[in-house]
Amino acid sequence: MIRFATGKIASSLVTVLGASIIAFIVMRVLPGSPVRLIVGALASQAEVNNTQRALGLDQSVPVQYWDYISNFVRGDWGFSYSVGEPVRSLLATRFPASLELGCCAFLFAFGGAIVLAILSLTSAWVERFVRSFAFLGLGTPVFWLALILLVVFSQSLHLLPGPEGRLSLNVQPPPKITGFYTIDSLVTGRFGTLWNAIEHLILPALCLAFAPFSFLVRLLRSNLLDVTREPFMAVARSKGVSRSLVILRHGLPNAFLPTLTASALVFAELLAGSVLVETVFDWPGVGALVVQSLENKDYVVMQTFILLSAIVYVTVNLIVDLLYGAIDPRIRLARGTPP
Amino acid sequence: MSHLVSNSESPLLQVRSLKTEFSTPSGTVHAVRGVDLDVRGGERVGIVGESGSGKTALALSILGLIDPPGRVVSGSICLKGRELWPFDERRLNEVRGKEIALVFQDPMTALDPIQTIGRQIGEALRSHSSMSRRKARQSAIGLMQEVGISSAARRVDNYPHQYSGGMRQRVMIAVALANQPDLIIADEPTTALDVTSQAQILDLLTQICRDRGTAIVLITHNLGIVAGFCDYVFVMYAGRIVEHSPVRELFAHPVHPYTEALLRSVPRSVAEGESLYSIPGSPPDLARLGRGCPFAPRCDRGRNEPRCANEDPATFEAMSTYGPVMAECNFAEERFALVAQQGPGHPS
Repeated sequence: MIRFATGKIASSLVTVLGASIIAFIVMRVLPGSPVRLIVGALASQAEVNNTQRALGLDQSVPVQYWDYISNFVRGDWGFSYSVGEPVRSLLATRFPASLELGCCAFLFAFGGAIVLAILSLTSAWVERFVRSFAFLGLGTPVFWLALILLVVFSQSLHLLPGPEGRLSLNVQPPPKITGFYTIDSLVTGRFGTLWNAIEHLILPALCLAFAPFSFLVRLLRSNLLDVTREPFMAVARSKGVSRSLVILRHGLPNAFLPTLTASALVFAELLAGSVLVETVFDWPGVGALVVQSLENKDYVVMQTFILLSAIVYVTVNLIVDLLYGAIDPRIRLARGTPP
Repeated sequence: MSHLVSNSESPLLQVRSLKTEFSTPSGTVHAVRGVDLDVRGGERVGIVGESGSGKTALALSILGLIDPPGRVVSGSICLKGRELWPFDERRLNEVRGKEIALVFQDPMTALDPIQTIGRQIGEALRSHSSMSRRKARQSAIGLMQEVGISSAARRVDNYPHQYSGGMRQRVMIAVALANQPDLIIADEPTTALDVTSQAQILDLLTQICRDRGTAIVLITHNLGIVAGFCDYVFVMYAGRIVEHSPVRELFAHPVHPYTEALLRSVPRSVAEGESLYSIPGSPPDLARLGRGCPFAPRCDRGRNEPRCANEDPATFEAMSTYGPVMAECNFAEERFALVAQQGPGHPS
């Protein structure tokens, strides 16, 4: 297992390194000079040169790359001129907001997919419902869904808050520990804030979850169907184990394996934030920030964001690979075990 | 009606007129078409037939393991005097593994690939008693030793992919033995194995039957295995039992032309240039069976007989030297009489 894990970690590091190189090159190949944006169109050549020197842009490309990487590792992620704030503090508030929403959406998508996939095995009626619901999910534009949900649950039924970000205006954010309002308010015992944060999470998370849910439930359902045809399921039933227990004990874990990779991709995608959902719900996440900095050629924000996303993506995949090994002995024990 | 009529002992398992159907897009497949089957305690019974004759469907039907689109339509399944059909899942879960255990055909796919061997044997134990996981693991080791898995204490925590086919089938037998059932139904337990493993598994089953008094129903298409293993044989064709008789009688004097043809098609040494016998034609489509004997189109005797083609064959019952015989064939009486003239033990 240790050998399996170190191998996976090493290959993850290589992937992140590759992403950093791409992020670095792309931001320099894009047309338009960030320096001109900072100093303005009327600034003198000397001013331009000074700023260029200050940003280290007069150095050779390898040196610039080294600066970028070493600064990133040290935690010095540069200063965003378009926002007027250090990138690190900018992302420190924005990233957790997107992460919290993404995690919540993933829980909805994944949990919902598991429950409905199992239920769809029980009756043809549920199966038909799940199938059409999933089709709907694959074809519904997320911003439209967001508006519908807002009209129904917020405006008409007054069950959930409207598009006002992570908390109601009169609620103070909890002291920052993880940046997740739910966890922070729970840890500090502010249950009123916790409930408020949860209320604000539900609609955007549902919106974000719908498409990935549809994808996962179809995948899981078909995998589960395949597994129920496996002889070992009949064997387990011939031992006197009830049908539902056989599905939980043997069906789900085996159906889960091929779904795991897809789930990881879905999860990583959700974590990177969604421009549309964040815009509709006024969610202060990275999605909006990225669009804004791209428009402003704020390459410092962009290259940090790309690298961070790569790290999140790779970490999630790494966890999945390790989970795979933990669940499936054939992978874990692929080498070095006597027959 | 059964070979038990003459025997006062009531059978362990008594199946009557069992019918199992599968609804498919191309029509209803009548996989089991009114089967009678008797198994006494400690008896070794063989069910022989070609692929697709309904042997596996019969085995699964007895345990209520036929899943939709298939279902047991009618009949009676009586286990130790208690009726199982119409099925009650709760009652079936008590029977499965505890009173009747199944050994499946392909040991490569019969084990959950992501659970240890010990847990899967333990599962059989734990589903019929409130045994702790630890205790179940210990019992699993004992069972593994009993079925001849060496260094069981070490191998109990292995996964199926670390076992060979023969070893996996031993595991399956350990699973079947876990709750000391009265009956083990082994569905082609050796088909997926090499010849050496086949012999070992059959020896193991023989030993279990002898030492524990467990009745065994061996489903196979291999007549060699039947000859060496069974006391009594049921021959299945197109979803029906077409002949049943004691094993020695069956091999010496097959009454049904299908049984005779099966025996003739067992490969044996032939002279150079002589070809091996095979039954002409192929088994009927179980979705489009009409009236008449299903074997008639392939039968040397009945091919041109109008009554074979148009009427259900007559049931013939008689007492032979070794025990009662039944055959569903219009010529059975005539053929049996011929045999009686030749005297016992004379090959037909």
